[in-house]
Amino acid sequence: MGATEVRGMEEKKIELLSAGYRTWHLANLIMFSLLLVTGLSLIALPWLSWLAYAVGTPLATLSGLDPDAYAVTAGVQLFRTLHRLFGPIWGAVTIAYFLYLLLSNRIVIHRALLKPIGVQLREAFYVAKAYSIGGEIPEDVRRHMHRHNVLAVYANAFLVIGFVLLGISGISIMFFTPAGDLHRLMIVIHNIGFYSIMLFVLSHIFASLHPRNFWLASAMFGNGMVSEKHAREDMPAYFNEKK
Amino acid sequence: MKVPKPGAREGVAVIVNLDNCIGCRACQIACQEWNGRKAVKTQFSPTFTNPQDLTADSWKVVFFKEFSVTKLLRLAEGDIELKDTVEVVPVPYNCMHCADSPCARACPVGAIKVSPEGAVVIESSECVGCGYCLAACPYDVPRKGSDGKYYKCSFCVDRIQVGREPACVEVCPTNVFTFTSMSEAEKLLASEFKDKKVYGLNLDGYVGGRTRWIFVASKDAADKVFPAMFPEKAENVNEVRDLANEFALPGLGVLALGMLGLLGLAWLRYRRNGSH
Repeated sequence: MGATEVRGMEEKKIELLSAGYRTWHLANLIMFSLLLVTGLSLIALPWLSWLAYAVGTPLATLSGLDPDAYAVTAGVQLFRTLHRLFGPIWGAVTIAYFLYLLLSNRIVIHRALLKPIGVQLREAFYVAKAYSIGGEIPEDVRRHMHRHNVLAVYANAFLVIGFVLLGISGISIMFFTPAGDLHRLMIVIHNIGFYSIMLFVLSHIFASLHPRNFWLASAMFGNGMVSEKHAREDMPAYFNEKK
Repeated sequence: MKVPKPGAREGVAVIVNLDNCIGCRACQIACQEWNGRKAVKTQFSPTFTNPQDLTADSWKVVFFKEFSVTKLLRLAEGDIELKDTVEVVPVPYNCMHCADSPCARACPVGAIKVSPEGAVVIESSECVGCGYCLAACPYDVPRKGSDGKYYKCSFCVDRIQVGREPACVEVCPTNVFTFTSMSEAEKLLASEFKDKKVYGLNLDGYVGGRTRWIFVASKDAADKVFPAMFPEKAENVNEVRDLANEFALPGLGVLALGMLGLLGLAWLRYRRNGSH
């Protein structure tokens, strides 16, 4: 995510989000959405039985089963199989990408946590206030804001915790077929991991669609270029460092 | 067609008299043979129990529960007290067929059926292998097969529906099992077995108050076996997950709605003021 400078005619733009990062983000979005739908069909079937029925009806017919009796079963069976396929793929790709970032020294998200705790809490308070009820972030706080603000990093903790819990329990359930209490514990851990990740996902979607950040979301699903003015205003510490 | 589920005092029941069991394992083999399950390879272990636990192919396993007891050896010269001798109590064990089976309630695709006789049966063609039946079962009974589906004792529903006893009941050489109706079982427990301790009646509502496999044993054996084999409270052992699902999913929905509201307000402010 290097800040490459491009001089336009009217507005100076910089590349904030590299093509690799955007591709990984898109892959993450697709994989997580698939895991979300297939997983929810298992833990909240009463809400998603219509989807299982819609998917399962042609599948049951193709399989030579009576769709009147087996439509939902066929749909859930397909979701369950796909969930077990997508889960390990997502986990493996995420771990590989994380290792790549780590080894190439590209991880910057932790930088916000290097500030003193008092400064962090002050930043978190003003960011939360600005995003929820509006208002400006004081200059002395804004000046020290990095690539990811403190609140985003705190929310990220839910992602990391959730990913670890999902990984441990998912691998255990799939490859070690635990019995009895251990099996129950693994399902509980898997569900808690899911809820933890959902807390991150909801806060991430909220922040991405917020008018303060919409320029960043546009860049993520566009060419990765952002206006230098926006970058300077919202992540001055990072911008100055890169400059 | 909806099959009527029998009430807790209706349908069939089996009284398992542990005092009669000699641990021959004929019931275990008869179960495997009748249900066409493949043989499970014998494994050496410190106990007679083999296989060590229920499996997808061993729906009934005789567990040999070992206890340390003091025995009295009566000789003409006088009694000799033998301390720390091993007492082995064989326990033929399979699905308890709860009166209101938590596994059937937990199955998300309705693959677990309750027959009009009260047999709780996994319809394997409908099973999606989610494991929720195992998670809900207070007796750790369903087991996952190599095809990803769950299996367990079917109460030989195919036999009892044509007037025959379950295979294990029929083959037992020492009359451990008494296959009868639930109402008759209650009478027998109050008369023929009135001096024995009972497990299977007066249980928690989680299993419908009782199981259709009712274990009886003399006080000595019961005091050792029942606490080791059967949970004192046959209740929901997965409350944390259920609680989490009950509150977390609606909670996330409320959170999402709240965030949507805040987003709407933020965009309104932005449109009105031209700034954040």
